[in-house]
Amino acid sequence: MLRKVITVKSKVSRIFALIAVIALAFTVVPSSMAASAKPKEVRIGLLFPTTGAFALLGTDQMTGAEMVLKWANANGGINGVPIKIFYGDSKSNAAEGATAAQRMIDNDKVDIIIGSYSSGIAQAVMPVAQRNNVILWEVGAVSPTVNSQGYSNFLRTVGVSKTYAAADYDFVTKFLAKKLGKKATDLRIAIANNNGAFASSVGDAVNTLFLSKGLNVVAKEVYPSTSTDLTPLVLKLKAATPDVLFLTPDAPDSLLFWKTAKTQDFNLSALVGSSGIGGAGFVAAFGATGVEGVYDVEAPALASMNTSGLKPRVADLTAQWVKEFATAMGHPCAVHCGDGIGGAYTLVTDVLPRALRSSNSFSAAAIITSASKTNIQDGGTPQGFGVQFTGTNSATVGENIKAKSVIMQWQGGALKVVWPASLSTSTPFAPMKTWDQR
Amino acid sequence: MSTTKTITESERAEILRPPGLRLAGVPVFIAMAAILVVMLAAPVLTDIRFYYLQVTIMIFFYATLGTAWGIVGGYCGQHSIGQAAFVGIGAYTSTLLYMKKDISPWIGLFAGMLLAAVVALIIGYPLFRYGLRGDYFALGTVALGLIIYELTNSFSGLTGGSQGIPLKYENNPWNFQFQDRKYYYYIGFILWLVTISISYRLRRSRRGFEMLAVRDDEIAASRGGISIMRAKLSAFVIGAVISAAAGTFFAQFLLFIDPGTVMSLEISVQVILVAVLGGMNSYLGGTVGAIILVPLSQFLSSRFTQSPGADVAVYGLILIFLVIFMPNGILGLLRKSPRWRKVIGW
Amino acid sequence: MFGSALISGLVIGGFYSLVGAGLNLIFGVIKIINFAQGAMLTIGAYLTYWFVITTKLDPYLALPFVAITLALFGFIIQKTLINRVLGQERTSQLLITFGIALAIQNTTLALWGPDIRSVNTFISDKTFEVSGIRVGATAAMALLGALIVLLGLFLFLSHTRLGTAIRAVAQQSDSALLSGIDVKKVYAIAFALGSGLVGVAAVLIVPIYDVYPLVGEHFGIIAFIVVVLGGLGNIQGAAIAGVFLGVVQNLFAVYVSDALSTAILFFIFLITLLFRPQGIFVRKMRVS
Repeated sequence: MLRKVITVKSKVSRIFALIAVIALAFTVVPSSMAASAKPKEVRIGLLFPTTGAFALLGTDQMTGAEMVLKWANANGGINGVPIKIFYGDSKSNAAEGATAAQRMIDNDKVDIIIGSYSSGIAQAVMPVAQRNNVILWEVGAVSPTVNSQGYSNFLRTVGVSKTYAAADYDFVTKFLAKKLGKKATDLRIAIANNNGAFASSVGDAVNTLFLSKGLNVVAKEVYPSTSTDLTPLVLKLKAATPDVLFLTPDAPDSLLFWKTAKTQDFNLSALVGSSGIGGAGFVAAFGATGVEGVYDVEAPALASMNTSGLKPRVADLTAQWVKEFATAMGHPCAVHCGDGIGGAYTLVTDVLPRALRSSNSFSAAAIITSASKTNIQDGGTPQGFGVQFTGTNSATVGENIKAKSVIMQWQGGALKVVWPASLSTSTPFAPMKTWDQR
Repeated sequence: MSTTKTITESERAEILRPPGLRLAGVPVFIAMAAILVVMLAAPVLTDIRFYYLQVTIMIFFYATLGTAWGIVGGYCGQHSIGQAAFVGIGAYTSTLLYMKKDISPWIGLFAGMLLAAVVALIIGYPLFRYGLRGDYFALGTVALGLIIYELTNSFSGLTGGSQGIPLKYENNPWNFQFQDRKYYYYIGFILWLVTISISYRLRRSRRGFEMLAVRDDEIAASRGGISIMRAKLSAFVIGAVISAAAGTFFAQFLLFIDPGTVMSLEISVQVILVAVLGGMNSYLGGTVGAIILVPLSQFLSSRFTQSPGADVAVYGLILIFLVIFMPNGILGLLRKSPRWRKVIGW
Repeated sequence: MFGSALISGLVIGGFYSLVGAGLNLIFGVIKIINFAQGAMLTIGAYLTYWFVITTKLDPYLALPFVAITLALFGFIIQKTLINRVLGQERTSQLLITFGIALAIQNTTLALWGPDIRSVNTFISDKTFEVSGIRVGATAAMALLGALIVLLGLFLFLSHTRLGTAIRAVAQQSDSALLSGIDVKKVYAIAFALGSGLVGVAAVLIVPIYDVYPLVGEHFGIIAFIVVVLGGLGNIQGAAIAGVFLGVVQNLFAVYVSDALSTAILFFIFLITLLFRPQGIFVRKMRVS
């Protein structure tokens, strides 16, 4: 009996509430249509793998983005609107990422999620963002399948694995082939990658592009990331006598590979690596002479980029952030730090201000509209490439068509951008020394 | 010598049947009913944040898996550390059928369950035939899990490899997809409830009795005429089938699968944790374990955002603590009381 | 290429035997599925690194320090944690080692971050070559270490009283108890010794595999395969098993499929557990 009374009571109070709201709406809404209040703040969540297998580089990406957000706040926010920063750890796991995303959306009420480092995590976070009308601002994942479903709330600043392949191809045909004294189609090219998500997406992209352009791929090897011995890989590659090897490992494999290559006296005219090959640990392990001449293809390592090619203000800011990062983290601001910085930069200096100006809101729709107008020329972002997003009527929604990967080379113990010339701080050289010569 | 009274088959069954919930008493019943009603009504009547529903869905997921493990490990004493393999089989089967052959995941659900049953039979038979001691069986299941993980990673042409498979989202209930994610909550709820019922009924059935007998003393059980192979195999298969169903559900909820998400060793261990913590001999064990561990892990995550690793380290320490001081799990604490023992089915 | 592949298989196989040695004592004697094996190897790696950083000496000189520290660590863990769960279900024991592993791995991460660190030794740059087959000096050193460890362990187990007691407990702990052996003390010593051996393995392989939070993980599982294939508590078996696994892995990687080269090891593991759980390289024994 009591239960029935309570239900009736709550029913009545619900109806009251409904009437009150409608009344309020009639009074408030018309006036707000004319001059809606400026949003008090913009809530941005940083969702990266800060624990687990991806912790090393995930933390770099997050810290880079965080630095830019804090800088924005210290300099007036988004035209006066402060940024509230929230943190989430995806634990190098897609399901955790999705749950953390939901938490940040529901509890922290974020408007935008900046993430994800890993393509797998991005793919799990994306549906969550889409359904809750929140933007996923992707700065790190490179697999082209991340937005294969064409979700509208997806905006990616960094180049997908195709850009790695494009940069590789460019470099091979426009520089390496000539320097090594062969026609591009005569070069013996080997491709190797571990079977992780990042490595396989890059390896496959390179393989597909090269084969379609008629280059001579003499070996394509995939090794397990759980492998304890890369000797079989090196033996097989050696047997194929390649001139150039395009290798996509993980951070620990990079060191193991290079040690194994040395032990087995595996000599190449050029090695174009990625990921760990461009890492601080790589040069620390082998010393400057040990890594001299090795190439790395990725988004640029900010610390070794030629900032003279950037617009002056961007160049100054980049230099400042690079220094700040190195002090805070104890290692230079390399590729993933650059992803974080570059991606966040575009968000806070271009897309968000325009969204505020045009729609006075940071809703997903406002951000998408703003992003569709983004047109930053090359040199206008810390990573050197420009930004322009593909629209909803293209096959790939939300991709930055101006994103590029660059080629870097270890020279004198420092990783220098050597290609394309506009961003380079040094000229590339080839061939690499053989092991005897090191 | 006095003559013994002959009893009918049904009377005998009644004597052997462990007393169930009926003995719990009316207050317990009302409490349970009330909880169920609240769980059913909460998402629609309140404006609860979806994050809490999502956590609850994860609880349903792990509770289902934990309860399934309870059948294999708790009832039958076979401690499997490879449940994730079956979760993965379920998830990948339904997803691949959906993405490549346009078959509805509702059908894929059963296909996955069938495949899991077949794999469980094929692997279980040799594993049980030689009466492997407990930890060797466990290692065997670890090996199984690792093999399936590596195979999925390698045959990327078929399985998408380590890059995983994003599911296409068509917002079509016939394809096990829903715009309003609350539906997943209800499906998860049903999945969990069905699993608990299966476990409960199994416990009170003859088959369950055989499993317990095998667990407690194999030699005596076989002398008593119980087929050890049949008991173990049925437990293993039931556990596998339920896990596969949970896998399909998870895939449809997350809309993305890759080997790390649905078939990693971490998942297998989490499942055991959940079951053991709750009390592996009880059909409610998995549920209790999940209710504690899932929110705990979430809570620790949100507390320690600034020092990565600290939350998982604390989780590890809590685990150690629990194993030392509460080895029978939480429900195990009730096992001394005759009345509660019957409620939880210890 | 066959020669190189074979020799490289022998080399990695030697590492496997080495890593398995410590687990042989722990799993073989205490019968506990030690999920923390990999984590302990990782600690050994970090200890080696810090030793080198602080003393500026060659990492091989860290051996006594790391071995003793890990032995102590193992002893403490055994006495405070493992001992309490010995009477319980195997699963509880397994869970506790899993908890230990999580705690270790993530404390390492929290304290020292995810960076990869390397150590160099005086022989880092040297390689041995015989008719086209090349083996790194650090690998050769690790092999030498493995041989010494395995030989030492074998002699210890077969020719000392303590060793015999350990073997007795490994084979039949009930009878051992009856014949007056202090089983608990044997457990503690076995765990400590096993942990110490893990420390030795860590020092020997750090120059090759570097230092990062998950460095021990790959070897953790393989150690189990070695121990099971070789037969619990059987040192010669473990040595042969390790080499067998290494050779199979590398030959498979070169001639069949690199991508499946770790899967094949798990497959062998499963087959062994199914059809010959007492170990491949051991005389037939009852395992129940």
